[in-house]
Parts: sequence; C-alpha cells; structure tokens
Amino acid sequence: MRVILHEIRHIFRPGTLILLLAFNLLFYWMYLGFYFQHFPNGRPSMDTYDIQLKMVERFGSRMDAEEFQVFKAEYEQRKLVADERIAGDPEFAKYGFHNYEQYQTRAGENPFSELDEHIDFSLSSDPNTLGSLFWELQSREWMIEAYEGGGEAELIQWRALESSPAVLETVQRRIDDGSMTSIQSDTAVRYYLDVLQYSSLLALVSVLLITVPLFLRDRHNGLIQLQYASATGRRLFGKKIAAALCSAFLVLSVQLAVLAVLFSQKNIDVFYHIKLHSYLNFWPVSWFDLTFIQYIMLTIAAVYIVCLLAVLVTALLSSVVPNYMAIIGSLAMLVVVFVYWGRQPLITDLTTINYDRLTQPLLYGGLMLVISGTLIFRWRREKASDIVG
Amino acid sequence: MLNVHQVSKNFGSFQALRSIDLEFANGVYGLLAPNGAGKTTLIKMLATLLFPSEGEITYNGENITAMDARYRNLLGYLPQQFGYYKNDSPQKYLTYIAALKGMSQAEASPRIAELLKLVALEDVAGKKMKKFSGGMIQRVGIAQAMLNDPKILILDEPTAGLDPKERVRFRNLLTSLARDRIVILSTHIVSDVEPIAGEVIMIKDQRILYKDTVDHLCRRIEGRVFETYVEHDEAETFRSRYLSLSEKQESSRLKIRFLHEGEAMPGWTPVMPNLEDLFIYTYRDGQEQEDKEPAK
Ligand SMILES: Nc1ncnc2c1ncn2[C@@H]1O[C@H](COP(=O)(O)OP(=O)(O)OP(=O)(O)O)[C@@H](O)[C@H]1O
Ligand SMILES: [Mg+2]
Repeated sequence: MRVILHEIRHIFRPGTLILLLAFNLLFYWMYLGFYFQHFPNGRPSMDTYDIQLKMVERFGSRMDAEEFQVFKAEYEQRKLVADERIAGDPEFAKYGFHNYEQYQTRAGENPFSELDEHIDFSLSSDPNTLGSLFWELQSREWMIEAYEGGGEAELIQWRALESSPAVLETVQRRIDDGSMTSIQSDTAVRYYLDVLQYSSLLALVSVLLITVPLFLRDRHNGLIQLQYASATGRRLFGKKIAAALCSAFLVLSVQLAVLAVLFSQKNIDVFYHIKLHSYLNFWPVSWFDLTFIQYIMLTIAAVYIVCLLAVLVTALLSSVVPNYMAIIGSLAMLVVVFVYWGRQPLITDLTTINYDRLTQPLLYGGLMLVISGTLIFRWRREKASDIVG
Repeated sequence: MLNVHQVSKNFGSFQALRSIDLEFANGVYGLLAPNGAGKTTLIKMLATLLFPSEGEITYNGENITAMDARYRNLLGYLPQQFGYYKNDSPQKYLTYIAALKGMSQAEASPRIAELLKLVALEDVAGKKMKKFSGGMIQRVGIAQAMLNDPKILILDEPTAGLDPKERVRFRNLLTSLARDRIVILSTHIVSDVEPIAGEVIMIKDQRILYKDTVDHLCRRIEGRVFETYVEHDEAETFRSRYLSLSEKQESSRLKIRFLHEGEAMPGWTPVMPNLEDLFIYTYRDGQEQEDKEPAK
C-alpha cells in the first residue's frame, strides 16, 4: 500500500501537475468554457428554456391534456398582448400589419429590416421589448405544435427515419403510457450533450497524460533493476498499474466535481428527474425509459470506464515502448479513433436506439476482455522475464 | 549460505556463463574479471533479475526464485548502472527505496539518517540529486543497498566514480560489514578487492577460473615474477619476449616488472607476485573477452 502511495506521488510530480493544469485550462478556454458561458445559447433557446422552467413549476414533470389547455390559453393571452401592441404601433401600420398573425405570416420576408430593428430581436433585449415577446411566442408555438402533433406525429417521424420495428414499438409504448408528455427541456439536454462530448475528451486526454510515463520513466532512468531486486520485486508492475488507476480516478473525480459545479447553473436540476424522451425533446432516445439524471449517471460511469480502460492500455504501452515518441504517437492515434469512432457508441449515444440493444454491452465486454487479457498476458511475462535494462 | 549450482546463462544463442558452481559464506568476495566477462550477468542472477538458463541458485538450500520476496528481503543490491529520479533528494529517494523494500516509515527514517551520515551526505540530504557529482550519486547507491541491513550485499562496480579517499572509507566499511554477512563486489580494478576480499573469484571463458584467497592466488605465479632494468631502446624486444606486468621510469632506464616461466637470468630480481600480476597474466590475451561480445 505504501508503495502504491509512493507511485501515486511519482505520477503527480510537479511537472506533470503543471502540464495537466495547463492542458485543462487551455481546453476549457478553447472548447468547454463557451458552453458554460453561453447557456442557454441564443434565442429562442433562452426563451424556450425560461418557459420550460415555468412549465415544470406549474404542471410538474408531465403536462396532461388539461394542463395543455392551460398552456394554450396562456399562449393566446400573450398573443393578445402582441396584437394590442402591434395595433397601436405606427411602425407596423406602415407595412399594413394590424395584428400578430398578419405580421407572423409575412415575417420571413426580407424587406422588413427596419421593422426588425424597431422590434429589437437582439440577444440582450429586455423582456418587455416586442422582440422578447415575439421570441416567446415563437417558442410557445413550436411546443404547442409538438405536443398537439402527439404520438401520431412522433411515429411519422420515426417511420420516416426507417426505424426498426423494435424502435417503433419502444416509441409506441412511451406514447401509450404518457411518458412522452414529460416536460423535458431540449435546451438543457442539448447543453449536457455538448458538455459531455467535450469533457469526455478532456477526461481521456488528461488520464493518458498522467499515465504515459508510468513505466517508461523508470526504464529511462534505469530504476527497474533496483525496483525489481527489492522485496516488492516484480509485483511492482501490478502496484504501478493500481497507482495509475487510482490517480486517474482522482483526476476524473476532480474534473467531475468542477464540471458539475459549472454545469449545475440556471436551475438545470429542475429537469433531472423528468423522463428524457418527450414530445419536447427528441434526443437522446434510449432503449430504456430513462430520466435525465439516469442518463447523466450512465454516461458519467461510461466516461470513468472508458478512461480507466484507456489507462490500462497506456500502462501496457508504457511498459513496452522504447521511447516517448512511440507512445505519444500511438496514443494520438487512440485519441483520434476515440473522437471519430469511439465517443459516440461508447459514451454520448449510450443505450440509444442508434445501436442495437446488444451492441454496446458487447462492445464494452469485448474491450474489457481484450484489455484485461493482454494485461494478464503481459503480467505473466513480466514475472518470468529477464531484466536486461 | 548462498550457493550457485551448475548455473549457465544464455542470451539467445550466446552463452555468457557456463556451468558455474559457487559457494558464499559470510565475508567479502571480489568478483574480478575484465569487461564483458560476465560479472554483471552473474550478479543479476544473484539479484533475481535474470533467471538461470540452467542450474539453480539456493540460499540455505532453498531456491531463491521460489523464495521470492523472502530472498530479496535479505538482499542489498547496487546495480552497475543505478537509476534515480533526478529531481529527488537522497532523503526522498531513500524513502522510496525503503518502501519498495517493505520497510515501515518508523524503521526507515532513523535508518536513512544513519546511512546518510555513514556515506557523508547528511549535509545534502534534501538537495536535488541532479546537481550531484558521480561519486555522490554512487554513495547514495551504496546507502540504498544497505537500507534493509541486508544479509547478502551485492555491489556491481561500486567504486566507480569514488575518489581515493572515498575508496578507502568504502573498503573499510565493507570489511566491517562483512563480519556477519555475504558481501559480493564486482570490479575490474584489482586494488578495490586485493586489500579486503576474503576470496577472489575470477571468470574466464564463461567459467569460474579461480575462487581462492588473495594469498593462494598469488602463489600460483610465485617464482615467475621478476623485476629488472632495461634501456629504452631494448624495451620493445624485452616486451615481445616476456609478459610485462608493470613499468616505471627510473632515471634514464625503465624498471620493468614481468613474468617469465623459465630460468631466471642474471640481473633479474625475483619479487612477490601480487593480484594485479595474476590478473594481467590471466587475461593476457588482451581483448579476447571483449572480442566475443555480440554486436548490440
Ligand atoms: N541482455 C543481453 N543480451 C545479449 N548479450 C548480453 C546481454 N547481457 C550481457 N550480454 C553479454 O554477456 C557477456 C557478459 O556481460 P556482462 O555485462 O555480464 O559483463 P561484465 O563482466 O559485467 O562486464 P563489465 O565489466 O563491462 O560490466 C557480454 O559479452 C555481454 O555482451
Ligand atoms: Mg558489468
């Protein structure tokens, strides 16, 4: 145990810590920070998110038919406000608009730039401007449309995607049991997916970074002979791997803690216990009827598992490659493979209908089997092989 | 008692050691042979880093590979190229090695302080080792080998980089240590072992050639070592006829110490052979050992 602690200390030597910190800050600055600073990002996301928060507050985690009528009535009220303001506004009269509907049907046409300026659609316009009101109405409109379309519209969509019978069945079941009427925020879920996509890469590269020198550094410095002639001897191989796993776990947990604090701004937790798949949120669609928080936990677990497996791979490489160039080259390839082919099936699309129900369990099982098999093989050889260095 | 039974070591098709038999009791053993003779190979097998291709090594009758950690608990080892983290201080480094040796913090701390003093490094105990001289590093190496108060102390060329004063201190240290333990030190520097080795082991042609006390070894060439004076212009002819052991400039002439197997000539003074003489005599065929080294 004390040896493992020593090895952990070697992993976290000042140089590595500085590198790790610098990389994390740079990565945050370049990719992740954007999502935290701009949530909800733009309009109408901002407006939609505000309405959705209020919906949960009023209706709970689901919106039943009665509540939907209330929601619709709210919309009509807001529309009346818009009508009044348009009717009393000479700028609108210039274009021949006397109510919201008239304006709305032609809003897509181009020559209204002067009018647009007058309305003020800008990001920063305050809630009392016409712009804000119009954004709000637009958000309410699509939600009403999505809800009204209901199961039928949903199924049409899935059929259009040539979904398998199993998928259609899954969706049908959720329509039937009312699960789809959940008030899930697409804005919040999209936000999580964006953060997850980048932070999983950050996590992976961070743990690779600290594991690269694990054995290589000792061989480089000629310590193996002393280490293996000590009482600990060749068992050090296993202890160093344990130290690497512990260190990686620590790094991942610190990152998770920081990300959790950054992520849990703006009452996002309101949506945690609401079913993920709903008329208001189209993705991710899991084989299982998960809540937002269940999906979050699942994907976090996936990040841990993937990263710890990557640590094992790196440790193996570190114990055989001749130099830093070789290991950094192989790991760069590993990261590219992860970004293009691994991240989606292993993490962000976990349990989703993008994959057959069994694909991901098999993928994880296969990876674990191959990696632990190689590890055991290497460990056996280590115990029986000459130390020539 | 440490025993080597019929041990051979092959590296692929290259045989580095062949049918070695050795027995070690308490005392200092000097493993003396030129570069490439197989000293490190033998020592690494004694340190369980290499496994014998044939034969076995036992400690008190038990196979050392089977004894595993129990054997290495008794072992202190200084590798020929000994490694350390450049940014560590001796203090930190020794604490790590102590942990590897399974020592508790309570055991280790006083022991480390004691050893740092013994190798005269207590003033720099907290300094980074990257600024140390070769001799200072070597002393850290000696200290780490002795951390666990080993019953078997194996040192591969321990005096490399030590200055003469340190060499003397080190030799004295080994002598006192060897009273109740096995000390094996390899070297190709005769003066490192001659004054202290209870027995000297010489390897030639992958085999143990001699294992004997210094006195007995020297007696093997008794009556064959002489000294004489020759003129400079005769030196070359002289060297081609006799095996020159050492030469020294004295006024205008050369004082040559040499070996001759036949009758003494007038003007030759018979002298007591020393270990150096035997060493040169034994390995007189020059680079033979090194020539056999496979290309790496
Ligand atoms: N891993 C290896 N693979 C192949 N040959 C080796 C290996 N290790 C040692 N040898 C060879 O075995 C022979 C003995 O080497 P060894 O290192 O034991 O010599 P040595 O007596 O310690 O020499 P030196 O005084 O230079 O340290 C040499 O010819 C060497 O080239
Ligand atoms: Mg050697």
